[in-house]
Order: sequence, then C-alpha cells, then structure tokens
Amino acid sequence: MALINKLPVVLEKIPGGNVLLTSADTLLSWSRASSLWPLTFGLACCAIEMIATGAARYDIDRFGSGVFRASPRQCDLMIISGTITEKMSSRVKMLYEQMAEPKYVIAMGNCAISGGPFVYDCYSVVRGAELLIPVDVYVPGCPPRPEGLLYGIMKLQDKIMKESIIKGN
Amino acid sequence: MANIIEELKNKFSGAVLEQDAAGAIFVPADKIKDIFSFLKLSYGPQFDYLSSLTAVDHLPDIIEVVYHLYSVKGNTTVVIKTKLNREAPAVASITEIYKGADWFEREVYDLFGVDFTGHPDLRRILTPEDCEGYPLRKDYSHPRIMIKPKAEVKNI
Repeated sequence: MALINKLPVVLEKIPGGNVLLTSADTLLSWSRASSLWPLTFGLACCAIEMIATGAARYDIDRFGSGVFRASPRQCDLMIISGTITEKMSSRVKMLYEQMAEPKYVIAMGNCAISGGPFVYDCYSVVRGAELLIPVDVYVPGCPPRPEGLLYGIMKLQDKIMKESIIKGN
Repeated sequence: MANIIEELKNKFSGAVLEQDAAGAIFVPADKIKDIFSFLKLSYGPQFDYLSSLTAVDHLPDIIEVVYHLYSVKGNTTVVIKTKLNREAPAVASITEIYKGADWFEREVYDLFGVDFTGHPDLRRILTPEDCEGYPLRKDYSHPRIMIKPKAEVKNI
C-alpha cells in the first residue's frame, strides 16, 4: 500500500488531480465494501442465523460476502456471532490480530454486544466483544434475524464508503 | 431394584448400604471400585454403560458424587451415590472400569474440586487454565457476577 500513500501527495499538485483522488477513493471504498469476506466464527446460537443468512433464502452472496473463509489471513470481516466465554476470549483476540488491515468487526447478537442473557449471574461470560476488540457495527437480537444481519452488513458498507485514502483511513 | 440391594448386601457384607427416597443407593466411598466392577462384570444384567457422573454440593459439609449406570440387556438404570467430606473430597477413579468416566471425572474435579485418585489425566476441562476455585460450589463468587435487581410485583 506504499504507492497508495504517496499517490495523494503527487496528485494534488497536478491540476485536476483532486478529482482523480476522490474517484480513486470511491473506487477503492466501493471495491472493499462490495466484497467483504467473512471469517467463519460462529460461537453459539447466532451462528445458526449466520448460516441461514448464507443459505439460499437470505443469500449473503448478493452482497459479495458469500465466501466464508476459515483462515483469518484471508478475510476482512469478523462476524462475532455468539457468546464469548473467558476461555474463548484469548482465541478471539488472537484471530483478530491475525487478520490483515483493513479489517472490520460486526458484533452479532446480544451476547456479543454486552453479554446478553448472561450479564447478571454468570462467572465465565465476557460481557461483550468490545471489551476485547474494536467493533464497527452492533446487530442486536437474540438471535437477530438474517434480515437484521444483512442490515448490519449494509450499514457497514455505508461506513466503508465514507473512508478515504486522503485522510489516511 | 430391590434385587440389586440384596445382591450388593450379600456380596459386600461390611458395606453400609441405604436407599434414598428416589431409589438411589448410597455406598461408602472406599468400596466404590469393588462395587462398580461387580456391577459391570459379575452382576446378572451387566451394567455396561455409565450414562452420567456428576456431583451435588450440600452445604455445610457434604459433597455427593452421583453415578448413573444403565444396563443395555436388562434395560434398567441404577443410581449410585457416595457422600464425601467437603473439606477434602476424594474418591477412587473408575476410569479403569468405565472408560467414559474419564472426562466426567475431569468435569467434576474442575467444577467441584473432587479429587479422583488414580485418574490418568486429572486437569481442568471447562474453565480456563488459570481459574482459581471451583465454580459450582455453593460458596463460589466471582467479581463478574452481578446481583439482578428484584422486580417489584405490582397489582394492577
């Protein structure tokens, strides 16, 4: 990505260069948003709804995210679907750190947002994924319907479209 | 069921056996291995399947270990319980007799602290490796546990 970093400096000096930059921005953000490859990270019941989202009726493939990769090195979206226990939390962090930039996280379901139904009397549940890794989109529900997860992915796509290489996002 | 009690009493004359209200048989902790190998090998309808091995914490001084045995040929279930001292609960491991008891005993060790002597690999199975204490004991507390505020019941 070194060439991309030097591009704004070069292009700003050329007349008409700014127009080129915003077009390049739009192109890059659009291409990232339209092919978010998720990591297969189903932890509990929300995984079933995530699988249903990937199946034929609610097809996640029309958003470009149909290929769920098993390896964190090959994906750019981590959908944390399910309860995070203390024993699993170190693995969540490890997988997040293994993903390459730019990477995004969706916290799916009440357990990933804040501990869900386990927030009061449980000794082993981490109260929300945000205690471990930075989260971009929260999708509430127990479990959220597949349409809810798709809405979350659409919101994430809007967020990515606002990113810009000029500002270094 | 009465059959089993009679046979056990004949075979292990020194053991004190009594029955629960629900039909569970209480046996002394030091006779566990003998009784189980008798039930698996020598008893009529052989109890060849260990369905479950759990524990119950009775404050202030007893932890009970509960064994559920099932006989495939005889289609009967028998429930066997032992009472252990809560200060240092220890009982012989039955992994040599029932291989399936391996992870059950690891779980009971992890959550209650019962030491199974003779177990091939006794270590924590469900809680993280650095967990201290035994979560399913009734006097266990953890900083994460929040008390849920009691909802007021209003008569509308």
